[in-house]
Amino acid sequence: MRVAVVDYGVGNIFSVISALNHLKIDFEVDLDGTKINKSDVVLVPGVAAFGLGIQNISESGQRNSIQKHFENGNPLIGLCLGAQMFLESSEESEGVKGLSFVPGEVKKLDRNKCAVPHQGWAKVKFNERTKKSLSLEDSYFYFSHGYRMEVEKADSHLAESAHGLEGILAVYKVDNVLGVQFHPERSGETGLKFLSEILSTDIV
Amino acid sequence: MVFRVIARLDVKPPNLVKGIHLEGLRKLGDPSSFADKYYSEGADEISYQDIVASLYGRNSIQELVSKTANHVFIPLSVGGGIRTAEDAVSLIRAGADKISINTAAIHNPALITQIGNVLGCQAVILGIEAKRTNGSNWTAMTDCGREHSGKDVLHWVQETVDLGVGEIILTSIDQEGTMLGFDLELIEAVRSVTQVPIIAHGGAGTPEDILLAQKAGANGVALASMLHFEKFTISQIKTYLNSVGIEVRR
Repeated sequence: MRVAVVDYGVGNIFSVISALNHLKIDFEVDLDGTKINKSDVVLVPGVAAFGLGIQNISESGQRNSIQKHFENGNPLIGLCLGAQMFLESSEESEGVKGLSFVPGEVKKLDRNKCAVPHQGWAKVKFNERTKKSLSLEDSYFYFSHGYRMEVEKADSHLAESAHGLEGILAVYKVDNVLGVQFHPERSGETGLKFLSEILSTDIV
Repeated sequence: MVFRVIARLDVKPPNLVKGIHLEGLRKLGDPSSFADKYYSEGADEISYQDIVASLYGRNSIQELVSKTANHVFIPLSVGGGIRTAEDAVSLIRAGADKISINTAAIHNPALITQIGNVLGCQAVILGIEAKRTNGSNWTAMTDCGREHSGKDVLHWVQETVDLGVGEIILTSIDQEGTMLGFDLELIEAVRSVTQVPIIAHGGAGTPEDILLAQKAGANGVALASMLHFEKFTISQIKTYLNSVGIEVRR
């Protein structure tokens, strides 16, 4: 299995690559969309603002390749902003259309319910099915975000977390798309295990 | 919210250094080996600060960041010498997860917004070096505690929070390196003007000091002397915090 890591200029690409190297995963870094068609899984990481992320992958030619990969039913994994870009829109960048692979939107965390942004470790609760398929228990993962994802179909919610009074969708899966709000590549040994499991099981 | 125990590593490349009141620096060795040790002991984050970058106008910490991020799989925040959004992006691409700015933000507050527009606000940490002037007033210092900015810390926090700050690392220069406890009044004062996460830095000597910082409103602590001089391990600190009912990652 080969993974294409989508580098769109602003993400935390080094952290993701380091984690994949550590896990001995076969991957290539894609800069212009050309590596995507040759890979089994597309991984979109992210530390960036929504609008800029969409703009960069559009201008680089990566957007079309990712779209094709999605339409062919091949697996896509998004981390943090990557997961958010798979949805339709974000309050972070009004008027910018997301990749729209998954019906849903990105909303600003509510200051009346929690401290914004959400920084640090939070307990993630997986549903029973996911716990079994990933052989994982509820654990702490690292979050760093000011916006949360809203994905309508409740059966697509594989894991949830909370920050103050605000509920956080931690992991969603809709068809061939898996989105992760936290940063498994920065969540210690547990995060590496999670990353290894989602890349090696047929969860996507 | 899970309380964070962060290892703070002040760096004068290529060495880890530690002073008192940000002065009288002692060389302690290779920073990345300290980072490795703190990672394996359960640190929640590593915070690197290049303490001479502002003075010398150079950016030499990038190599160290990559070396560490290569096998330390917890968040890395990096500060020192970041003057433009491009500087911030290259550090993130080199392995940092968040960047912190102090001197450059004071000279050009718009930089906070500029970096936020590229990396998102969550990646922008405002570094504050607070020095008590008289009574309950603090001045924001720059250039690693050497220069007075003339800005009142509380006003500065209020001014910047609206620009999109993701976190504050709040250093008390008066307490820094002393291991005599945090400036709790400073933490309380900053907490009263913002809900942005506050990482308290400067003065921690015992686990009880950390409990007091949490009660004063800190969301985490950045520890240096206490760890570097092996007064306590991260594991001992987390065991203590857990025993007094503070949720920590274990």
